[in-house]
Amino acid sequence: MGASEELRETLLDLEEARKKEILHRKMAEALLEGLQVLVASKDPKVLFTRLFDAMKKPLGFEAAFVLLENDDGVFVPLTSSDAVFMQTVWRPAAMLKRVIKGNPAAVFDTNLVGEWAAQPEMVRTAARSALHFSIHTAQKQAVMVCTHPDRAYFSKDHVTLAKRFSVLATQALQKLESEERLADLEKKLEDEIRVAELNRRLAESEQKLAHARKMEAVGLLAGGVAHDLNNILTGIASYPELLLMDEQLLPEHRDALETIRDAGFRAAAVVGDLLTVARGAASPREPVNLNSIIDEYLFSHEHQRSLQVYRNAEIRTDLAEDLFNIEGSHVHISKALMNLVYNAVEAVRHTPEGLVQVRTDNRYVDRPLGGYSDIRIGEYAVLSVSDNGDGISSEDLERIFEPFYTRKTMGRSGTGLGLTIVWNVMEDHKGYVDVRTGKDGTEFSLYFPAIRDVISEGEAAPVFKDYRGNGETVLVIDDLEDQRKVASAILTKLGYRPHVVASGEAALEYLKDHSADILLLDMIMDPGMNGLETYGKIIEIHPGQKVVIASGYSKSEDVVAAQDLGAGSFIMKPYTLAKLGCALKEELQR
Amino acid sequence: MKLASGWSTNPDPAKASDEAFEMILKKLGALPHLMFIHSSSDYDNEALLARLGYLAPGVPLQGGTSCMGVITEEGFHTGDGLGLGILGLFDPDGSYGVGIARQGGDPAKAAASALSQALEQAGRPGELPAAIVMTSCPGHEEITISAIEAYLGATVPILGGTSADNDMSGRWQQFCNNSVFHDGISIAVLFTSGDVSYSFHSGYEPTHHSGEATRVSGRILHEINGMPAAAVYNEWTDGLIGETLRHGGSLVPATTFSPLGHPVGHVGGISYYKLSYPVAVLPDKGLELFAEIQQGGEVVLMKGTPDSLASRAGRVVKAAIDAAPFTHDNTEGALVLFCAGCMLAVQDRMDQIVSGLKNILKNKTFLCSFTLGEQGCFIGGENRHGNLMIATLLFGHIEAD
Ligand SMILES: Nc1ncnc2c1ncn2[C@@H]1O[C@H](COP(=O)(O)OP(=O)(O)OP(=O)(O)O)[C@@H](O)[C@H]1O
Ligand SMILES: [Mg+2]
Repeated sequence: MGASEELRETLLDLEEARKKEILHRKMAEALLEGLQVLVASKDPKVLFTRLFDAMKKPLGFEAAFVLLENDDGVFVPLTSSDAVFMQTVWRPAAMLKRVIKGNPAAVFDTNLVGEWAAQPEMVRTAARSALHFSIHTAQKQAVMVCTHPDRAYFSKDHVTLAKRFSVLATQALQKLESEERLADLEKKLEDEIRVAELNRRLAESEQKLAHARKMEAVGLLAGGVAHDLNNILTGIASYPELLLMDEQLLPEHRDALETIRDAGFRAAAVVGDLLTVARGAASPREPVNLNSIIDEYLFSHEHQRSLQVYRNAEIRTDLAEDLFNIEGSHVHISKALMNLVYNAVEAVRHTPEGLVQVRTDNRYVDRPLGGYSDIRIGEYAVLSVSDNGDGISSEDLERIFEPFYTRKTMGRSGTGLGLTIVWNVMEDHKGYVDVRTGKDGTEFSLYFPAIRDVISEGEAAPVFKDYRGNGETVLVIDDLEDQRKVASAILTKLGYRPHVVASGEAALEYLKDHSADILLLDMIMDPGMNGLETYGKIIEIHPGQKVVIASGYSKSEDVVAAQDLGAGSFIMKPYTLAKLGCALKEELQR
Repeated sequence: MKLASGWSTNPDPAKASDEAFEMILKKLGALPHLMFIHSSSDYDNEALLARLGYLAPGVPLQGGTSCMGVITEEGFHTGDGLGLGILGLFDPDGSYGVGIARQGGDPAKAAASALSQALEQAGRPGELPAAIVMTSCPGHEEITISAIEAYLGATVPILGGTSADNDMSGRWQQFCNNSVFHDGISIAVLFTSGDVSYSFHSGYEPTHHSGEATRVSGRILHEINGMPAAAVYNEWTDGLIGETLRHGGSLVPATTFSPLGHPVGHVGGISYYKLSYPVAVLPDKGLELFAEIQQGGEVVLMKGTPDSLASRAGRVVKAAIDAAPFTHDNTEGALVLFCAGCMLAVQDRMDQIVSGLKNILKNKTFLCSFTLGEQGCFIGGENRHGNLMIATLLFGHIEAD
């Protein structure tokens, strides 16, 4: 063969190779563009609309639509660039079945193909030729159909391009889908975790509710017991005081009486504990500062005594200087503190270098804190007592706040009321308790809602002459004989002229033709009228009648109602001479 | 997809069929899905096809007569002008169908009819096949090609060969299933599961002699540049056909190395040509050609040599391999349609042709048939009918599938 002929052929072949290369590059670019569209958009409609745009140039179609398989194996258009195809329904026959299997089909005359022949004339006119290829994902089967109104528009090159695109798009979609499925799975997992968390919280709050109910029930019980005990104690604590006012008392008698009186008041304090446990126990509210309560407590005799028992415990304080004030009851908080310190000191009994730390600080809770209790958003003054003892086991932790729950030998040091008191004090103060415990120790934190009030300068303790009476008449209304006797004795001592009656009815009867400068009214009387009803009736005959309410129970709604009617101060039984004196004086001078 | 060839030179058509088919069955281990049958016109081809139809029931058969014999990867098969070659395609994931029609007075209609039968048998009416193989009687190949293109577009490669006899005496035949026609068009549609490649080249190059086809009627070229075509041709060829020019008559094989060319397209400034074989001088000193030349088109005197013709086949197949969308390893085999005129001109170099093909299609299956005209697809994608050409259809599979 001639060299020139060979050269010609080589050039022709080269040219052909170049053309093929250009075609392949164009195809690759088109494919890339199409794939980018696929990967970029998640909404299938948007995806396919963009895909149409991207593929229009390389495939040169006039219109395109995407068929999606529905549950009964019928294909319907998901989206179409031409409305004429939107109403079509496709039942795959031989051609579409092959397409679905992954073999693109170019139809040169739609009239000749089963699936198209089943379409309305209008549809076939709009698409005399068509190119079909599948894009399938693991779950969904889609067929992209490109159409042209001219017969025999699509070529073998279109088929080749469609085939490559179909493979790549399927891969891209499946990858996308697997990522989506992964994301879905993650989301589902997250949901499940959320639900589990919700359930846990629900169970927890149910548990907390049950706990609270239990506490309430026990509290009510304790309250009831305390009420009765309190009345009994009034005698034990108050008579010695009366006797002690006698200046001619023998010194040995004086000592004995003082012991009786102190024991009585200590007993009253225990009862007071029970009352604290009881819901709604009267707890005077005033702006207080936790730091001063702590200072006072640490210098108290009780504390010094407990330190003597447990010598190895070192107590350290770390008190925030600018600590928020709180509104609360000095006595109750002190009691809570005492119990925490006792427990802590007891916990480090066997710890070589026992350390108990009492701390305060201001905390702003900016999102609900999950802890032993759920702590709400707000400003708090926090008192915490921590120790480096052995910690509390998780079973114990669930129960430590229950009344009478103790790990200590019942009767000796532990009655199991300590933390119950702490709990109730915090409930009363609308605060929260948090416990953190572990092998290295335990920390109890008491969250008290902070207030911005300033504390008034402490008044000097009243002296007897300041609260002694001036021969004013006092009508004592109490259903219990002991109470009446104690009251009568104290009032006489204070310089009043008491008259006693045993019921509300008797008081009304007496006041029909007598008057009294002031009443000392018991709230709970049984049987007959209670304090509130009695007071209501009395002011009908003696409007503006002055009264001091005394009760062993609580500053109940009845007390508040009576005060609304005009009643003066309320005092808790058992009362001291000074307390009753001050209350009467204050009311008489009002 | 898998290809296998079978052949026989057994003079008994049934035995020849048995032998050839057995080879295929052995190689494929199963019935093929399509068989191309090319056999000498001296065979009782009706008996041959009937036997094959019996051996391979339901398998589409397509083909026609080949000049002298056939070449397969096992050599040139001919014995006393008898040779049978079969190329079997095993492709369960593909679809294949064949159809045939007599041309009668309407070759275009016949082509469309054969094509639609083929698509019907393939079960893919309306769908674009990967390739079309045609076997036609001589005469209306251009019309057939344009009829096929009118039917399903100009983008499907069409390859084929005009059925030939051994001596141009007109005993050529076209096969389709059990039909054996003399004046028909047989078509196979190929929806392969793999892919195809093709090439269509001649072994000729243009000379500096060229002119305008000023008067043409069908395949008769009356005048070049307003002068009798045969006279012009004789002048261009330095008196190659002086004798015939005077008395008229057949030009075969004298003109085999000097056909007329007609530029079909340009690639990178280089023209490529469709060849027309001047077969006879007519009384008006016009030239009868075996392929049409466009009136007003350019006519170029082409020049070939025995060397170039003998090495042609391998080169053409190589071009198809180079252009294939699959690798050489994934090439399954080829159908080659080789101009009978060229073959006859270089008969003494048959070994060279065979080894050329075998070197290029190493360890691959192929069947080469000798035809009286070739239909092929040019580089630019044009389906054309030409003479003295070699057309190749290459089968392969795509890795990713
Ligand atoms: N800081 C602490 N470290 C370890 N265990 C503690 C601590 N505080 C409380 N506990 C456990 O909680 C239980 C209940 O405490 P709580 O103060 O209610 O009762 P108590 O100390 O046993 O008796 P009480 O305080 O009435 O004398 C204790 O018995 C103890 O087991
Ligand atoms: Mg305790």
